Amino acid sequence: MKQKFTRRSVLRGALMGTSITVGIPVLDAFLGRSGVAFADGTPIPIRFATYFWGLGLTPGRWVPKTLGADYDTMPELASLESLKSKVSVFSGFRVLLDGRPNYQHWTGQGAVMTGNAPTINRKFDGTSFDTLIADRIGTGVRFRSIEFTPFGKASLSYSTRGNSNFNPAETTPLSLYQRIFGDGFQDPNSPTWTPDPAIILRKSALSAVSEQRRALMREVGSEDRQRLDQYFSSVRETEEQLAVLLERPAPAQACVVPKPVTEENIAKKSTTVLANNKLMSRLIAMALACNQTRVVNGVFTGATSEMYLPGDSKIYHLHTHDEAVDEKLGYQPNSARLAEASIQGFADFLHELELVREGDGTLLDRMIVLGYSDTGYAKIHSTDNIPLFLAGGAGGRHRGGMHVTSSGDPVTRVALTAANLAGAPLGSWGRGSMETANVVGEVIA
Amino acid sequence: MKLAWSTATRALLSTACLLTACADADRVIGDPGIASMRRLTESEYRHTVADIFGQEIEIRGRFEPDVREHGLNALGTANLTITPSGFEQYYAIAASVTSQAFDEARAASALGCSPPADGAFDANCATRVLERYGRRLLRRPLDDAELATYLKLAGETVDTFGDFAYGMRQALAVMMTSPDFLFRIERAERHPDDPRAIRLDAYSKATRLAFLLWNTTPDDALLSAAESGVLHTEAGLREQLERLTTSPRLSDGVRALFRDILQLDQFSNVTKDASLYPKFSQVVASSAQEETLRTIVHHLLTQDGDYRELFTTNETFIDRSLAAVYRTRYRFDEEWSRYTFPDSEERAGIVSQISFLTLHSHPGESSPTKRGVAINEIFRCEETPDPPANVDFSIIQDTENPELTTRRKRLLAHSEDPSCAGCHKKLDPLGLPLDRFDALGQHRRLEGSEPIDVSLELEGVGYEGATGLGSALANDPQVSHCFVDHVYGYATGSWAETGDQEMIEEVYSSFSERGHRLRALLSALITHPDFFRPNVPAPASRGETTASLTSNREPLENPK
Repeated sequence: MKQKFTRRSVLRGALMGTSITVGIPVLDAFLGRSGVAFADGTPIPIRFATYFWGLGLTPGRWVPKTLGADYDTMPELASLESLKSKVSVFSGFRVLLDGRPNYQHWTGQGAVMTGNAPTINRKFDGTSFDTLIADRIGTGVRFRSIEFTPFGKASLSYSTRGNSNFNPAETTPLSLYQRIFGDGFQDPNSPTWTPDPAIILRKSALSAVSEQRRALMREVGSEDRQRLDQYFSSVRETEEQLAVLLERPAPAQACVVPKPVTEENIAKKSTTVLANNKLMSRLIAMALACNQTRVVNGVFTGATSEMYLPGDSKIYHLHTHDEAVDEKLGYQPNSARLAEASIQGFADFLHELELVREGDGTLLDRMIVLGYSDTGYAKIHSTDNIPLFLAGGAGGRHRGGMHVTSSGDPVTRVALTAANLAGAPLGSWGRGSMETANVVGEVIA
Repeated sequence: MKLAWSTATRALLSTACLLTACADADRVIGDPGIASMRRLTESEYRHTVADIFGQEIEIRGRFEPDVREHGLNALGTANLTITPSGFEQYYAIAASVTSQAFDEARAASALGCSPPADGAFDANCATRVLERYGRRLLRRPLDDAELATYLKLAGETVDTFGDFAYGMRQALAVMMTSPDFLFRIERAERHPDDPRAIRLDAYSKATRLAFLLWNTTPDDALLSAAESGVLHTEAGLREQLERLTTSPRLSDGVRALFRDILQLDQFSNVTKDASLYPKFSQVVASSAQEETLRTIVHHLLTQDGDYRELFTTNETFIDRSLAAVYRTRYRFDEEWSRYTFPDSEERAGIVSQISFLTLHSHPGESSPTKRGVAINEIFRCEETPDPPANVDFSIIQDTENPELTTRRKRLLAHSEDPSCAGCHKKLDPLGLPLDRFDALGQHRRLEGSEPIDVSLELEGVGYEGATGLGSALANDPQVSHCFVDHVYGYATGSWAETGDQEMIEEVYSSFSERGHRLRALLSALITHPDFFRPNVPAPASRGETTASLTSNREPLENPK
């Protein structure tokens, strides 16, 4: 026997600078009269998105003072003002740790996405709920989900099917454009269509990979089995994707294929991040309108956001810790400006969805978007009062414009509500004391 | 070929399994089969493609992000899989690689045999192509089933498109998305002389050696040594070790090792505020990494120098862009030239080079704390816990305080806070000595109108600035230990903390007895009798003894 011992006891020009022209009247013929279904009666599906920004919002500057409908607009929600009737605000929801540590800038997003506070730092315990929704509403289109960040880092993604494998984010407008509208894109409104023989071939090629599954699974131990399983489900997903490409796409009334984008400068200056976010949001809106995906996960900045204001040498994360609370104002002034920039990113994302007309409404009307952050107060890494928003009409199911407050209910209630509104009810959601079957009824129409 | 094994052995191993709580695995600990799977890193992938298909092949596409665990991407690879978008990207990259490798200009020589001109499928030629490339790509010969699968695919493609080279491109692109290519799969086999023991099979050994030493797929000589079984003998192993470590290609392996240890991949995420640091650019960022890697390769390989001197040397390499940052004139014709820092620059070792100083700073300002955390993690293998949730930073942020006029004074005052003192007592003496270098690593003497004080005391010993810090690191045994831990983790994919302590200690002793030479370390590690022991799933909790370990230990082939 071996004794273990340790010595350690010791575009710009993107989309050519113009906004997308929306709506092609002639294609309205494809839609039924109600505008919520295709002419053949297939309902236009609800689409789902999550949108994250780091470091929360400023206490006292975002929670509306009034409850229920037509809440008053607080300073940090000013950029959402024009969409207020479509945005619900949730305050007072929190993460219940169940004895686990509060991993700074990690526990919050982990709890919102997976339904419990992560056991291990930098890992999530289980799958994130967007993948469960994607499995329900995201099949039959080219991408099960698309992840993006204007912050330049592919690992900025909280969408996972387990362990430390996060679905990597597209990090530039160009890479996002190529993923969606590059090789393999089929214009749903193209008058002609022929199946591409290369895709048929590629599909049979994939079966060559799938065939290896059985032999490998025989040789593998339990730890690696899960990883191989994930690999083979990625193969299967690709097979499904190719199957989609071998069918003539249904016309998409709101789909206008964007012009190619050029590479953008990636930097952490707030103005640059916002500009890239806008370009990417516009591409995402068209990916949804063109039926390329039904689920999107956006990350504006990482949870320890290094974003900085033009002319200021300090990054956001440092400000939240170093900056004094201004006695007159009652808050940290630079941190608050950066929080405003963050919520501006969320608002810009929603505005791009709102700009796309679809049937008798907008793309946003047929979406449900969960906006969230990692903390209720970055200065002290609080996981109480985490800012949560639901935006979009969810095809008429979401009663927007509401402010709902709770005295410490788990954040899982809002995620559960989002899944229900997306048409992928989860029954119950969360683990331990975060488990809940209790949707937030106030926002269900 | 799978060897039959006795019921008695199975019973024995099942008992071992019970003792170590091995969940629901079909494969029992100690069974032959897959011992570990590590996803290829981007760098391993690139070198592999260059070796097999040629240096001129361009690799276009995005790789799945690596994940660093316990300081190394190499340790993260053992937990990673392939996501759907990653799989999509790997296929796109592979298709682009093979279409370049078999384009019109290259097809004839790349194929190495002549298929019929009429576009008909030539199974013999296809078999030869698939076997030749397959052996290098999968780091072992294709088995019969695999060959049949890829032949069928190639045949269908050639029949459909009437283009033989296209068929080969397709089949090889698919091979490059198979788990056996994308993961470095290590397989254990039963030891022929001892049915109770298992060992890594010879191809897995060859693969471990090739990626550790050359950062690439095994070459023909290594694969042949595996095929003949000679790699299982001590003499055969030493012969390959000698060949691999005396080749100039060892520098590829050493560069990859240090890129990982020094976390240089993080540079892709570094930005500087252009209004404060107009000299920073992607050119500077990439030259700075090259400077450090050149210093390391020169010192450890060319000079066969002492590892500890990496922290004290004032010798480096600069190019034109770095000369501007170091504020010296570049008077040379070559792209790179050797350079000795003048004493006035107060630099010593790799932590005072631009790469380290830039990487561990904020976009707009330097950070003694970030630098301290980085030194402690990267060179001392000590992870720093998160700061307390509600830290009072009021001292640090108050730049108006007439007493606390500098970063240093404020940081030291802040460290008096009992909840912060534990970490800062360790970190400040590591980070503050570098305070005469700004967020781009430029030398400075003043903060406002005050001279920057870089004198420190650690465990009763006083020292000053980067040179003092360099000597302190060089003389700290934990720094050399940490390096051995990193090399062990990098080589085996197992975290040293839960790894084979006995082996690590023995390797450390050899390393330190032989003047802290890198080649001595590599040799001691690779020839250690336990180096190729298959990874065993971690026991339920640390500190437990693992009943199956003894049966896993590979008997020496040629005991002296």
